[in-house]
Amino acid sequence: MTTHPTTSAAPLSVRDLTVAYRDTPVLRGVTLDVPAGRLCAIVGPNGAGKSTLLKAVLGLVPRAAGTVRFFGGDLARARRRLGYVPQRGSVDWDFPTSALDVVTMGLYGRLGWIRRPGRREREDALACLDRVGLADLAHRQISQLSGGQQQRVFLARALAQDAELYFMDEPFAGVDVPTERAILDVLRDLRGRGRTVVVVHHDLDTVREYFDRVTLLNVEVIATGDVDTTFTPANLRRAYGDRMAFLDAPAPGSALRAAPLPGAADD
Amino acid sequence: MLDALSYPFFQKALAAGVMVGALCGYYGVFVVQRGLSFLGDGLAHAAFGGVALALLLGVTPLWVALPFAVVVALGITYLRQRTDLGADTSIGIFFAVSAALGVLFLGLRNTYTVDPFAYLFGSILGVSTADLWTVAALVLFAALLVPGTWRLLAYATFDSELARSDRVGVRALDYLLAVMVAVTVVVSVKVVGVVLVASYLIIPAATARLLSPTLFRMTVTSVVLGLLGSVAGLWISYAAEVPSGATVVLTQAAVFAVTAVLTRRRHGA
Repeated sequence: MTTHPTTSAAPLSVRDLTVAYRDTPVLRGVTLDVPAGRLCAIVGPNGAGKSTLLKAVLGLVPRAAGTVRFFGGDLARARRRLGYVPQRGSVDWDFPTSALDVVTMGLYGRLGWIRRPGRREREDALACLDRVGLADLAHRQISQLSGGQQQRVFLARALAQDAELYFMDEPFAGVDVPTERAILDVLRDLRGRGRTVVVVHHDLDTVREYFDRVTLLNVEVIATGDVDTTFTPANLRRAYGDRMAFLDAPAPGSALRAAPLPGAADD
Repeated sequence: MLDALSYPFFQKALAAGVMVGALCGYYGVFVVQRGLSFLGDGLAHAAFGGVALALLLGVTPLWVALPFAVVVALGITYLRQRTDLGADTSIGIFFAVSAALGVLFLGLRNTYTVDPFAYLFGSILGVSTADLWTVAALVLFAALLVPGTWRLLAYATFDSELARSDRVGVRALDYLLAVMVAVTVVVSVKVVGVVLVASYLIIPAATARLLSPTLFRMTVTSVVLGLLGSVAGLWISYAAEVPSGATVVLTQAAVFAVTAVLTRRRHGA
């Protein structure tokens, strides 16, 4: 693992980003800054455009308008410094491939058309699987892994990419307790090494505990900033609308939970 | 039975079968894993349209069928990438248009001979030395592509969005795969014919899928099965004096059936 020099420009700076499917805006005028070395949550109701925001930022879905800058530069220049962990459900887990292969594939983009993954890449990949407690399952076909183990394979993949800015789509969704702890350990370790992580998150109960910053999203940015000042009942009510009505007067610091629990896949 | 090897026509058929079988085994893996089995059918009919045009013009069928099928493959891929139409719809449109053009070209020709029939069902007698060299050149080209593209094709097949997020040129790979499948189908038509080529393309890969935990193993297994199935099928067709294309496909299907029965429990059915 190498460490990258940090630059003064913010890892991610989004200005007036609009995304539309056909003529319906999915994201409207999103403006967002993500400072370095922070764990940042993106929360909002189902259909708020959380996954779309990650994909639009990464150029995986077309943008209708707006600009996205990474470390002060454009996507093409920054790609090598970015890591992406998609929703677990978006991948075909019956595909004939091993846990180790999935981690190693994360390195293909860096290697290009000519260079092939060698011993060093395999050792790196194995070390990353070890870090998430899956060294023993490296050669197992991915269809034989539990949901939590599959999520940890994705995490190992992200670690192997050794990025400076990570985007993770619902990494905590539907995982067991050991996996939740493992993911959290990795997130904190990344932060400790100055990396920045943007996480689409659904569990409002854990936002304060897990994250430094939060963006409340519902097609538009409702609020964005430090968790302490931004993750307020008033902002949550604006983001979730009627679904937060029963929360009219939550005691400060009490558990906040939207109903119905927006744990299902976004978009 | 080894006396068959002393006949030049059988030597050529066997050489073509080995090369084309391996080629089908290789690209069949990606076709099967991407759920594009219908693509083989669509491109086979494009090959038919091309062959019919060649017969109308009185030129070597391969030289018209190849560009014809490649253009169709590019058209199918373009429609898939630039519209919301599903792969089956894109393929279905080109499928019908190619077949219609083929029938039209044959009709314009006015003189029906045995030639179209040989292309519909394949003919081991029809493999000329020139054909063999063309097939050899195309197989060599495909083999040269393997080291640079297998990994990336594998990644894009596993998850194209994930591959795109890692700067893999997924669109370019889609076009490359479509063109190479078109080439594979056209050269296979000589051996098994238009009607059977889709099965010829996917059966070895489907059998390999049942036997392989990883895509790499699946690829190696599929190439070996494609090659052996062709050789065994050609030999049986010679010995039993039955049509070669049908025998090759039925031989591969028999191997698939046995494999499916033997492996059914492992997959918890």
